Amino acid sequence: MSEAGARGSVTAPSPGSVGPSGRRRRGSPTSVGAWPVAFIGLLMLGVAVFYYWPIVKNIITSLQQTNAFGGDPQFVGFANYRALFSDPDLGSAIGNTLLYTVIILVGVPLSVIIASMIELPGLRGKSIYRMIYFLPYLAMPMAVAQVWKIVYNGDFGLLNQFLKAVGVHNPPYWIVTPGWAILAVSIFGLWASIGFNVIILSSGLKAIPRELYEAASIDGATGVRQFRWITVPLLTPSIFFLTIMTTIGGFQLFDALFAMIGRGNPAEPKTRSLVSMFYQQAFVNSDQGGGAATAIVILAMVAIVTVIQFIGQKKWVNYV
Amino acid sequence: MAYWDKNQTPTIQTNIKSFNAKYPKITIKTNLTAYGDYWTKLKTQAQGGEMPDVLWMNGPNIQLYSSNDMLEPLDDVTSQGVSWSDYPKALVDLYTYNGKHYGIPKDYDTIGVFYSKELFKQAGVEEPKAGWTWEDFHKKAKAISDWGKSKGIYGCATTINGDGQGTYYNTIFQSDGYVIKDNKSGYDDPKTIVGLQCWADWIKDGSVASAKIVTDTKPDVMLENGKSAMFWSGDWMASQLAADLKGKEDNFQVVELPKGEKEATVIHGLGWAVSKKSANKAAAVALAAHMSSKAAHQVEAKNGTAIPAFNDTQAAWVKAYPHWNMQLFVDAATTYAVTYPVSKNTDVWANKEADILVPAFDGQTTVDAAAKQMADFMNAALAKEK
Repeated sequence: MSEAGARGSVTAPSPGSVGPSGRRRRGSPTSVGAWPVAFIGLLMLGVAVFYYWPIVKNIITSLQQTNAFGGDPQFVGFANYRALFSDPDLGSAIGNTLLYTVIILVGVPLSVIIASMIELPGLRGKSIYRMIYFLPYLAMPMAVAQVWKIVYNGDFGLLNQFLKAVGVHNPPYWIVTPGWAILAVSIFGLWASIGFNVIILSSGLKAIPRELYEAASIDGATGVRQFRWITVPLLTPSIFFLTIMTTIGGFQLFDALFAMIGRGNPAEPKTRSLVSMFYQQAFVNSDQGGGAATAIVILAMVAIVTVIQFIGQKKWVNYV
Repeated sequence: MAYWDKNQTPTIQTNIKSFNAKYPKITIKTNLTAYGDYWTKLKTQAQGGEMPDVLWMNGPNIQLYSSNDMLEPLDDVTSQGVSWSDYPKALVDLYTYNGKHYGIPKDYDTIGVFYSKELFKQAGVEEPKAGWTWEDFHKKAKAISDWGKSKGIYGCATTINGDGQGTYYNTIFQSDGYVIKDNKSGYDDPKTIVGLQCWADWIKDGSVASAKIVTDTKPDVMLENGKSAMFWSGDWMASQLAADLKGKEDNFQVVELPKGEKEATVIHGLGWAVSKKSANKAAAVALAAHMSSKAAHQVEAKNGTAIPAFNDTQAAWVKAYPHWNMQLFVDAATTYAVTYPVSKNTDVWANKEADILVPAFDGQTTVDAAAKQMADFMNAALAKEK
């Protein structure tokens, strides 16, 4: 619905009447219409070539068996999908992916709290705090993962040294024990997501007019109540954006696993994600059809979850 | 020309220079891609018909590329001075597919046992000597593990977490088993199982560190830091150890693998290959031949990066590590080395080894059951290869 329409039909001219804005421009209506198409067309061309075509190609590949180099394609119908759904690893891959996604989603409310504290009026050294939280986001994920591997090391790691110091006997070997490993990777993912979240939320916070808080304090609202009834509701568009991005990022879990768990790790078979299944099929087994089928399933799952989120947002996101 | 090891850039540059002295009109563009991305990139290039003219090839991939008609058969390269008898036979075989040569051996790796003389001394255990057996290995490893238990020290820590080349492939060959023969899996062969069972036994009584331990802290780090006394690994480890242990080299030594029913080590090496679709095929073949010449291998030997494959050029490489008995890696190649097991699509089953064998080594499943499962998986995968 256009903005003019939303504002009500009172001022909008009724069809056929010649209102002040209803005057015809010079030239044919098609030439007016062609410009927007030309502008959008350039963008759409790129999107079509780099996004839509690969998706279409991927769907085609997922119905084929090819040789290791994509040659000699044979149409096999849904055989690749049947093979995927009968793969015993699929269930645990979905489970691990969902667990990871849920845990990194916890980063969103955490980031709201951190960002609101950083943006508290009168706090000194805001930019230093912002930088501290944002730095991990700038570092190379592979490099950071190596550092976390050292933190998680069973014998010499910082984490276990700390746990032993506070009296925990035999803390687990985090990244080599099935079960603990996916948790360890998720916590790493949660930590790594905070920086980006905080920056987005900080700019969201700055857009909230100060007068609202002043009015609230005159009315006697405490800090906590202001946070609950002003900050959070007015931040919901940013929160919604982050929820979508984090969920999509969660479904794409791969590099953290690749860097921290790796093949040969005794926990690896029970710590696979959907994307690691895809990688295994497409790049290790050279089974392009199977890989494409996995990619399509991931795409479908992300699409469904995103649509649900967009439907749900109507209930809780406030656009001012 | 495509390759992946940054350490070998000087060697390649020197050899290109000497090539250009012979063929001044041919310009060679080199392309260095890190190992992990190399194969992904090469596969994409192959798919688009844009493979580099001359490239490094390895064992697990040679049949994949040659059977899919991506590589140029190099049998005629003998007219350019290459003689197959100049390289270890096990390596020439690795690069032969359907009776045709698709790669010229570039370098090779064999396996030995690096050990810490210091830990042997502290634990009061006699150092290993050439000709030792599995039983000797087990006794020594167990004695050191028992002595070092409270300090977290193991008799042996090695890449038991899925690295066949460093560990179980050797014991499989030593117990007279096999991994692949006539396109059939050897994993359910009773002799192969002996070569797997030994690791489960050694890990069970603590002589050898479990997969969990060596994944959490890498075995080379454990050896260097006095947390393990022995490390089965390839000669490629020498350059890292020499750099990390500078000044303390004499506290370490290397010895040949202990023998089971017989002596054996896996041999693997890289090869020079030429793209089938190369637009300058004559030049590409000439370059591959030049890179495989004795002079080119001597440059490699002097730089000490990898053992050159050309027979009798290895002395310079051995001299690059004066503290250690590196000659054993060269001797192994010409006497008891067994070719690294590959098929057309090696990675499919080779990657499964970690999933199936590692739990058996750690005692979660029996070795018999795991070997059977591995054989079934591998035979199914081999049947699907085309």
